[in-house]
Amino acid sequence: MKSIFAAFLSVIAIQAPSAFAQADLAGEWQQPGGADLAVHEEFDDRGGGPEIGDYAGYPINDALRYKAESYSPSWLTEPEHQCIPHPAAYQYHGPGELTFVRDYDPATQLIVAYHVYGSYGNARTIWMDGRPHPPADAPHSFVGFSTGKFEGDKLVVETSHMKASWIRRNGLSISDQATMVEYFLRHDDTLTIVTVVNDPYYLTEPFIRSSDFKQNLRPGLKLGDFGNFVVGGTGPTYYKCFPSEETAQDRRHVPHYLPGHNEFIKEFTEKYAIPPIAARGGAATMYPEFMAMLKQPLPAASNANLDVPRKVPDAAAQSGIHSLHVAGQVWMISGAGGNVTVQVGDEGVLVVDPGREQMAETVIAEIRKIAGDRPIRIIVNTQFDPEHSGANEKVAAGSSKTMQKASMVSYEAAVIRMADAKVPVAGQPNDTFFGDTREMYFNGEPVVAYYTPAANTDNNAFVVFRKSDVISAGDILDATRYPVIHLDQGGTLNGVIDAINRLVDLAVASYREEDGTYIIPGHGHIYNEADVTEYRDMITIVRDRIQDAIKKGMNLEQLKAARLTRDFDGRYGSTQGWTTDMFIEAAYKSLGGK
Amino acid sequence: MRYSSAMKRRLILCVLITCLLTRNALAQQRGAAPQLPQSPRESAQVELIGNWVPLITEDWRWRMVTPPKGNYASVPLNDAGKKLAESWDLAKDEAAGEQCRPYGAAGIMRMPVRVRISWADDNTLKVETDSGQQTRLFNFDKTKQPGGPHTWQGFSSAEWTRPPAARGRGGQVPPPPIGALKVVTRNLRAGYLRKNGVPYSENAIVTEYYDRVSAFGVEYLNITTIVEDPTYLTMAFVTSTNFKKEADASKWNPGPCKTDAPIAAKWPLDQGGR
Repeated sequence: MKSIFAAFLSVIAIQAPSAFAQADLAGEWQQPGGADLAVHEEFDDRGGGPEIGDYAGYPINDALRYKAESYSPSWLTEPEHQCIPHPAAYQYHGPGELTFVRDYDPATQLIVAYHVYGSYGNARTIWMDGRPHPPADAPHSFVGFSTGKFEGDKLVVETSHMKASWIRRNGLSISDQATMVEYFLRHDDTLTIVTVVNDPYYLTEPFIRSSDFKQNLRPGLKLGDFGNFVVGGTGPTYYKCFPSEETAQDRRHVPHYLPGHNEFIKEFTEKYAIPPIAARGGAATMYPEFMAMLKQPLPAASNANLDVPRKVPDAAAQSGIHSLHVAGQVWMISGAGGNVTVQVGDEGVLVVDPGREQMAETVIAEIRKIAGDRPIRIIVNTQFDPEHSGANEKVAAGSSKTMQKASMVSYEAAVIRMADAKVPVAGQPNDTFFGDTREMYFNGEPVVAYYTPAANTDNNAFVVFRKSDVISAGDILDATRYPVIHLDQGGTLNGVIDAINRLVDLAVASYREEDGTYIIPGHGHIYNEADVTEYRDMITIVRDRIQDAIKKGMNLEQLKAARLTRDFDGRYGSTQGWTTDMFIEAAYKSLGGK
Repeated sequence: MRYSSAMKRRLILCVLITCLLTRNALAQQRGAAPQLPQSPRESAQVELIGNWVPLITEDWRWRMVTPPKGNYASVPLNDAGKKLAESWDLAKDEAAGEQCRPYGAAGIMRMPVRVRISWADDNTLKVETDSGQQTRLFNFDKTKQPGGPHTWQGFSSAEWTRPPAARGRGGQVPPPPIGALKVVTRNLRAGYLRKNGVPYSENAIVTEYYDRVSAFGVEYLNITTIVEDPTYLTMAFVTSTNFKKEADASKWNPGPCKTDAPIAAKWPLDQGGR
């Protein structure tokens, strides 16, 4: 047999086709300037930070310009923002050093992933094993979800599931729907990382930039090691970044500038004698022919033909009914109207908001996939809304006529609203609460429903799974649109903001605003504290602008014409269903506008 | 499991037949006739031919406008380099007919200039710019060496780089074109790294890597540029610049070397000369 084996080896040796060694990225990399961390490009960005109001060379749309002009650096003093890392779309543009580590499957000894550390960002994983990207409603993170493959010597990385975050440290940001393609190009001892970001909501063209690193054969300081950095020469101290009170501001205050009030915007153009037409950015400023436009005056401000994108279809909603494990004993089913939360354990199944009536059988089938034959014991409604509670009766009935029906829990006012809407009694909760909370110990964990007064309606509640560390928020939090405010059911904008702030208080991120408590919104992808805070900031800023407009005496039509929500309309606005105009009107009236 | 002698012979025969058949198939793929050495043009590892426009998304206020004199932020100048940068005089350059100093090989790819790449012949890649109307020639012929007077574009030696074969006889099959272009330029006339007189000397050596990348349906060219200059730099100056492919030459706008007057910044600028 030895000769047979030898013959096979000969074949392999003779036939080994075009197998080529790939560039070795593993190891330590530093800024081109070496140990003193000097950078040779983007001195402002990679050092102390860019100027407020400098958007030249960025292909931003009117929406992002408006957003950036309202940005206040004090935003970083909010406890939920203090520990945010440099996000993946910015990470290698910041100061710092990098470590690339290869990760092998011990069984196959094939490369599974690269792990990238350093550069003020969170540790990042680039999966090399061909796995697919997660479904659209999976949680997002600041590093996103990255897969890589080699094209010759180039490592090509595609990243999705990034959180809304900055691409420049002066308020230029991308949405959570942005995606990114990177090329890691190694030439001898030089590594060039090319980053291309695409964002349907804030960029009119893909945004490209590149950063250079030199191989570091004697790694020492890494700026990612915050502990070493912060304490200076006194030696390393454990430092995980726990947020604290940095200012005496109201805990609910979101720092931002009202439109037209940011006096620092002009500072950049005056300081550097850069024409305002250039400083405002836009794709045209990236191209050489823009030099001919530098002497042109700034066009007059107008709300006509604003470059504000339309909403792109929600990928999660389009992928049909499916379930996703969230954490612990909790799952999310989406595609049934609103998101359905399912807790599964030894005692049975607890469902929060079973969805639309028409989807009841499909939801039950999906629950069976998760929970097998375990009985559905409890249904909790976060509010009366046919999209969330329409399937109550059918899901409570279960699959067998002899089986006990599930009990149905909600805030008392939800039942009153259902009765008013002539919902059959069998579909109305039979176990209601009047106070602030309803406690249930089910499947070995505390499950608590919290009432939130005057939020979207007068009957909203959210549900906390304490051991699983998951919150089912219902429509208090809608990741796909502006909050739906039912004025006729006692809803108010400030009530929604208060409710979201309670979610912010209860949620705890595990490390630098990643992971930790997961929050299932009424619609859209799974959130964590950072995403809830982003939404809270958005709705608070919108509230402040509308309140200011009311104070200035604007009527509803003037308010709509002012387009004060233009920076968020692409992501959260709509011309169908709950439209932007409906939201503006509800917010205006809720805040006392006549 | 035991094999009889006859079985062993059959197995060995099968293996050898498989081996020969596969080799024949590969030979047919490559063409039966013996291959002549390919020219650099034929063996290109990256397709660079076409019209390219730079995307000025980085260092905008050092590239799209002329920065103030003495602003050499992020360029690792030594004291002699700083002194020279601080004595820059645009009018003097113009009077001396040296308007093309920012358009020399060490700085030109950072300028807002469109680039057209074509083959001058099978061994020479030609890179032309619209603004400044410069022509760079990348020589793949290793018998040619730098010499003669120093020029703005110097003498460029070029080679394709590609991943080496990992194992076996990888060289038997031509690798797919998945490499990059490496260009080393010497014999330069002293010029500027930036429009505002940030200098490099005639001793400078410029190493460049040209890579194609694509994302979101857009074709890009990335050029990593490493300038080493013992006369004016304390260390290698490394930048990378991105270009986008253009469908045609309709935006090609040739013009002479030209530097606008520096901007009149009102603020004390952090020069950051490291």
